[in-house]
Amino acid sequence: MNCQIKSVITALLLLIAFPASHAEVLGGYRAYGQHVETNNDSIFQTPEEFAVFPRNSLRQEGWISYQQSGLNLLITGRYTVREDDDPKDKVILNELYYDFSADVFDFTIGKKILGWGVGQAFRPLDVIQREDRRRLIPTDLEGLPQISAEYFTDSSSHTAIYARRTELDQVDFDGERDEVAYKYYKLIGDWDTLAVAHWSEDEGFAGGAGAALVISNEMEIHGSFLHREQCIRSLNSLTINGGLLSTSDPFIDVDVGNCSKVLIGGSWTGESGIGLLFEAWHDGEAHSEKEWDQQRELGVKQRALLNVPAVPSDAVYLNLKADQQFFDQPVLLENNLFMMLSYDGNRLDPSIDMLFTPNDQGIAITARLNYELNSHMILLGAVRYFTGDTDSAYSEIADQSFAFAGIDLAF
Amino acid sequence: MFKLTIIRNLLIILLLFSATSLFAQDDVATILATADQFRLPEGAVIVTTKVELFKNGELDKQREYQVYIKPGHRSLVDFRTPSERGQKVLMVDDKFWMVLPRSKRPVRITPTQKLLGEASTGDIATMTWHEDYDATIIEQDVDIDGTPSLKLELNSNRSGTTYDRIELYVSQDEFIPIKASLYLKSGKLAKQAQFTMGELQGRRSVVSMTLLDQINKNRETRVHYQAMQSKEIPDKFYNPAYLSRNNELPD
Repeated sequence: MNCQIKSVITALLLLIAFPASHAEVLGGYRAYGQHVETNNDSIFQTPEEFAVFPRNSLRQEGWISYQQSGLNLLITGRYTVREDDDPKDKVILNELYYDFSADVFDFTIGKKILGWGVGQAFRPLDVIQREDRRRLIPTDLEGLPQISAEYFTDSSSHTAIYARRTELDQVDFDGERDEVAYKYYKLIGDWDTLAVAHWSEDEGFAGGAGAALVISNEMEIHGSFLHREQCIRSLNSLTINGGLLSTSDPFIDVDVGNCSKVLIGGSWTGESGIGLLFEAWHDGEAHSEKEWDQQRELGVKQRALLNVPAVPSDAVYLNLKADQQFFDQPVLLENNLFMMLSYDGNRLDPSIDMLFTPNDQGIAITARLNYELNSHMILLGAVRYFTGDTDSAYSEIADQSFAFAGIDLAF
Repeated sequence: MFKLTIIRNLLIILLLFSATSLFAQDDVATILATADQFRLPEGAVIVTTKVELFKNGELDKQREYQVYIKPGHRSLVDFRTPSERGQKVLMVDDKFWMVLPRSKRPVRITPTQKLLGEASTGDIATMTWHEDYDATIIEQDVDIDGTPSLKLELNSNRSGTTYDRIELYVSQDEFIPIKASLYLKSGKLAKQAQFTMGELQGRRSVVSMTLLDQINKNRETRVHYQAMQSKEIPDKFYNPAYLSRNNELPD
């Protein structure tokens, strides 16, 4: 019995133990269909049997949340059917934690989703949860086991956290990480200000700050930065050792030394409901332009081996498939410009955004539409399309576009 | 004799003038505070609110909220409709924050963002006028459906109010709110409000407010106050950083 299911059973036993007189129980169901179109011109494109993403898939999720007397629980059951693959099911314990107060302090013990930082599409100060802010399909995050202590005044707060994650309690995580962090928040005049310090064994120390300010009825501005002692990037070892093909997973974690993350942004919202958001950021943990050039050159050389009879084509395609891990991170390249236009309608909420990487003129465009059928049900969908200058990273993604449509029910 | 006549006439004029000005301007603050009492009792209060949204005369949507109001321009709106569960909006003075479902992070929002939504959060969360507006009596003895009323002009005395100017009508005898015209900072007439009196938990109160949208003329919002409970709410509940811990709000 895997660890997640054991945790769920523990959670259910705890629920039975807690008196349920004022319990709040919520639940929901989500179903999303996803379609992926390949980029036949991509260097990294492979035949379908080597594809990273199936062309079509259907994901269904049921979730339950329970909250009572400081005890909080969120569980998701997920069932995924993929084209040409066996169905997969998974139970995720998103949260199980207990909030309580003692004297002037507030404490949390357990697994909890955290949301730190300033920013919409990118959050330098999200040092613990590290949410992918540009996930296409909305879903609940998986929290982190932690112990935290907090102290609040009417306009400030101090938060100290110890968190530990392992592959036993995290669905998509390998290894283990212990980390401690401190956050200080203060409302200074009209400014929201935030300072963060973080330490983990593999990344060393990091420190940063952020702020947000509403400058008019319609506009706000925000910014944040973080400097980290040791930054880790996932790189193809073949681009380092000069090899061409590997018989095992070639991607390794490389310590690139210290790095910084910086974000500035602002938004404007009119009385009509039209909103415009702009953000620019540098992520020192994302790939550099040089690393992209090296990965692209490797892909070109590997693809050329398909014309060499002595080289098994399967070996080449497996390496091209492995190369696609280069794209498998929330922020692809270091420098980014982001713009989003949205409309807050009566039932219909459309938005369109564009992410631009100025170093190589790559573009990712996302269009979204939410339609509220009634107070329990929302229809939603989105399309993301990658394009840009020839040789740009986004234009070479093997899966050129993703589209999903689905339904979100809450009861 | 002639002088006596003049003095008598002057006295009559003075008496008539004082009789027509039944309310001195320094009474207006009291009038406004009394009108507020019919909407919200003093002190910290938890208000359970149901909002019905009508489009072209037909019920389009329903929303439920729990609003935690504390003196000192502090309101916390907890969204209780299933599709919005987990969403909160915090208002402290002229500053606003929002927490979205699935997120544990408060986001600072602008006054315009607070206005968005069919029943703007400001309409639900702000239930008093005397703290936020300076009032002047414009007219007396205004007949509204047979009720003699006062017409008051309210001008916002701080930034962050949902409406910059309000024309408010209250009954002349008890200062019960009857109706109001609500104007935005741009000068645009945004909504017209009508107040319905009733009894709420043994107290004579405004039990509902109907908002007729003057910009989208086919829309109407009815705000029903279902319960009102005086309850001391700790100051830290109005700290934006505490919103991520606010799963358990006081009942």
